[in-house]
Amino acid sequence: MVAVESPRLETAARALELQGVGRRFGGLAAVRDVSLALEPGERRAIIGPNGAGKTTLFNLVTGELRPTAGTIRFFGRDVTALPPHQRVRLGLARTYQTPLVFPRLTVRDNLYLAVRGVRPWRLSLRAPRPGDPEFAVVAELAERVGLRHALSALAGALSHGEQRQLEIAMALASRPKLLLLDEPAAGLSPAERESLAALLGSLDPTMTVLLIEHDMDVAFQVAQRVTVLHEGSVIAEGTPEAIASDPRVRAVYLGGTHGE
Amino acid sequence: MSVRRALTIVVLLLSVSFPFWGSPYFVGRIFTPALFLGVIALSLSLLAGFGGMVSLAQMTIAGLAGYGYGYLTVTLGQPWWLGILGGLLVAALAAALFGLIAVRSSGIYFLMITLALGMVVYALANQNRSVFGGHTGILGIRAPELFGQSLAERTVFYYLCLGVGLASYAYVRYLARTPFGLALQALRDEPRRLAALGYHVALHRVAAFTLAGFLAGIGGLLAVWYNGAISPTTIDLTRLINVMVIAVIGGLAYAEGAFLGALVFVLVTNFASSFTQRFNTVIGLVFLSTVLLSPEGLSGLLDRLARAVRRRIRPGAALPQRFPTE
Repeated sequence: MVAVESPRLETAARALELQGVGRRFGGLAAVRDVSLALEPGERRAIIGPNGAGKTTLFNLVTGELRPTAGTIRFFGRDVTALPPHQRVRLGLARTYQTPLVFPRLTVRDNLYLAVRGVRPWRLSLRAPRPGDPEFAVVAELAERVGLRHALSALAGALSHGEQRQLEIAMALASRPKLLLLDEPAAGLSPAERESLAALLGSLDPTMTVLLIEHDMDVAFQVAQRVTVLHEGSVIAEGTPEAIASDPRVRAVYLGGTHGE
Repeated sequence: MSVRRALTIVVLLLSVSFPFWGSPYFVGRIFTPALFLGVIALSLSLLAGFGGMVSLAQMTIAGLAGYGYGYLTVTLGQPWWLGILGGLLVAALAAALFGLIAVRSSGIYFLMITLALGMVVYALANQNRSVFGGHTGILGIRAPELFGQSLAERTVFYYLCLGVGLASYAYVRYLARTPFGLALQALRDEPRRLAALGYHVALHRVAAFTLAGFLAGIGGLLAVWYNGAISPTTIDLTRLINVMVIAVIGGLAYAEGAFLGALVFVLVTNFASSFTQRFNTVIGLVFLSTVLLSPEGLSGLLDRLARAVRRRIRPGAALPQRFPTE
């Protein structure tokens, strides 16, 4: 079957569109036939129990894994075969379930690399000077996530919560059109969860956000729509209210560890 | 004034004034080779310490620069400056090619691939007569002459090696602060994260390997001027491993380690061979005790000593955060 598509204007295109995306690891189908569409500016949460395929789906979207079936479009452009670094340059940034920062570099250098990553001459052989415009962006990002005081500290010396904040700032440094957050609230203290929610609430409203959450409460706070993944497939999609009362979702979570 | 700065000034003064008070033997036979071996080992420190790429092919790349210079100036009779350009070009191109082959692997596999590449070049040099001169190699290679003065003259050559050594050291330290160097340190620790920031990790590794190859090539040119000849023995297995031994004794994570390690290496090989046939055993023992007693090498040991001194002078002073292991 050949699909003939009329060229779509970037503004009319979906921010992210997955069509029949699947990924098999040998005999195991971690993600199967997932179709998903995010409008620009949408806040979407993906929830599901452990092993539902949420992180695998993320890795397919960022390009760290290649799908074994289906296509992935980013603002109308087919990115299915693009390597991760090129997707980032198109405006797709992510954080990891366990914060992934450069532990032996300072917070400043972590952010500096993040700012340079999507700019030309990212591998310049000239040492930066304190007055370089990148450092203004670095300071602004650090301020935004409350790490201004820690700019000269090694990233490896930060607490888990601070590393998470740093990672989010690094993702924001590329001025992404789509931000993917893999369990941003995991391992955070209640106070840190609050500042995280405030940070996510302060994001540019035109930025599309897709987040994975294990915890329904957090997911429902941030997201306008929720997709439920179970055993690699989408079993429900809708508003938080509709999802919360969906009997299939309740069945999946019934007897789960997150009843609270 | 920090301990580090004081030490730097002392080392600079001593090394610059050395030909005026040091014995000719020490100037010509110990410190000069230590300097150019240091430059070659520095190319490994750059790759391993910053980039996490432990290469065994650095001496091969240095040797290729020497072969390039020898082939151009002796076999083809071209002027020295063409030999320098050609030699460095050969080294950088070979390094880029090695890099392309090796960078998708890491750790022990990277080590093995670079070793295999080194052995391939060794075999090629041994068998090819038209370019490499076969088993004999290329003889009668001469250092450039400037204003009627041969650079091979002992004191002149010492200063040449010292200048190149200091410049390489300063450049590697500078490089660590550039976006290129920062990204290199970043990919050593979290290559996935670096890719997720928009960097092409494999390409960056190749670029770093090429840059290190250029540095090794500079060391290789000094070595071939010193020896006046080049043969496959220069790039055999033992010589390849020697570079690793030098860098590890000095401390892989430290730029100064390459020179410190080279000095210890040259001293041990020279003096051990005067009382025993088994100087390789002595080198092996030095290597083993370094790895066991101070995995960060002699530089790591000095670093710790300097911190201890500082704590003694100023108790409670904050610990410096240079290459902390945790």
